[in-house]
Amino acid sequence: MGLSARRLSVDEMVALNNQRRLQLNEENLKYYEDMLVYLRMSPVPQQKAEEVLLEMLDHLRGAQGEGRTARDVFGDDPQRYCEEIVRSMERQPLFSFSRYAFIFLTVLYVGFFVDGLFRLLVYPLLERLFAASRPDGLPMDLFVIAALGPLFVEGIMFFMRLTTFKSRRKQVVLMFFFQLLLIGVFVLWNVLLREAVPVLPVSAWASLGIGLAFWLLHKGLFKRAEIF
Amino acid sequence: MTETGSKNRSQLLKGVLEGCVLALLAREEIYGYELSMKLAAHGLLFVREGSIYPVLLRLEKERLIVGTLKASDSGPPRKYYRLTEEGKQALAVFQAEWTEMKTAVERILRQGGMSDGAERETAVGG
Repeated sequence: MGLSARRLSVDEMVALNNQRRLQLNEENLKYYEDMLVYLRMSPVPQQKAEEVLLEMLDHLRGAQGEGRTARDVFGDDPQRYCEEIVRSMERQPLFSFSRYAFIFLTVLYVGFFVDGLFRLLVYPLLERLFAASRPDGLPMDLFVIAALGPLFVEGIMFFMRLTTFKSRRKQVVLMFFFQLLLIGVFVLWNVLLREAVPVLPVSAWASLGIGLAFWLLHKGLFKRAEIF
Repeated sequence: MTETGSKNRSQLLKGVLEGCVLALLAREEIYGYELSMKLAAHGLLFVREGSIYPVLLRLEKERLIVGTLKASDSGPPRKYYRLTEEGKQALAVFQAEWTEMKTAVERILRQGGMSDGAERETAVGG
């Protein structure tokens, strides 16, 4: 058959998908991309999801060439179809240590970097303009936020699945409430906890250094691992 | 067709479709689009083309088939499926059950025709 047995990686499949998707007409593209968002946001192994997405895309391209539409191929109810696809796949375990560690470490290194940069660049400006006092260290709630990070990612994925097949109007309304919720949590967190949170006594430069160390650790640990 | 009728039919078809997919894969390695075209060519026109993907995923999950996305020298990379040893056993079970069911259903239908009178009997029997 002239086939080489090499398995395609997730990145290769995504690149192939981006390139081949351009050949769909407007109607089929809209239908297909909704399914793509839904499946990528579902708790299934990424490799499997990209494989079936490519198969569905190739099928649709073939059907389009013969004058059939996405509706003819996948039916009138794409959400139901996608739900069946997800049910038919092996579910990703609800808790995966490597996925948890990946998100935890990401939030940590970004948090330390941002803290260092804020104290070096933004606070001097605030001090001059508003006489705001520069904090002496890093607020330790960063560790709580990092620990809750995976939950937050799950929340976003759930929200995306909820809205993908809804009308544009409903999407806007749901997005508004979602953002309201996020802002509410952020404000409450700051108002209620800011004073109570202990501070890790490190200098701004030390924060940058720790951020760099976490980043290197992150890079080293997850270079080859399949996280999602 | 009534709603209940179409529901029953779709349940029945699910199992039959799985059996047919196994049978086609027993002959050769094949990819999704080609598979759906072959099913249609054999007359399975009432199955929507896209419905083979959930079937393939289910069969893969049950380890009855394996699919590998392979880069091809001539065409685009495609996911080719083949039967596993468990798949071959499942196909043998399906064939036996199908033959048994087919014989039973045909017998019942024929007898039903006979009790309706001689006219129907001639139509079914002849």
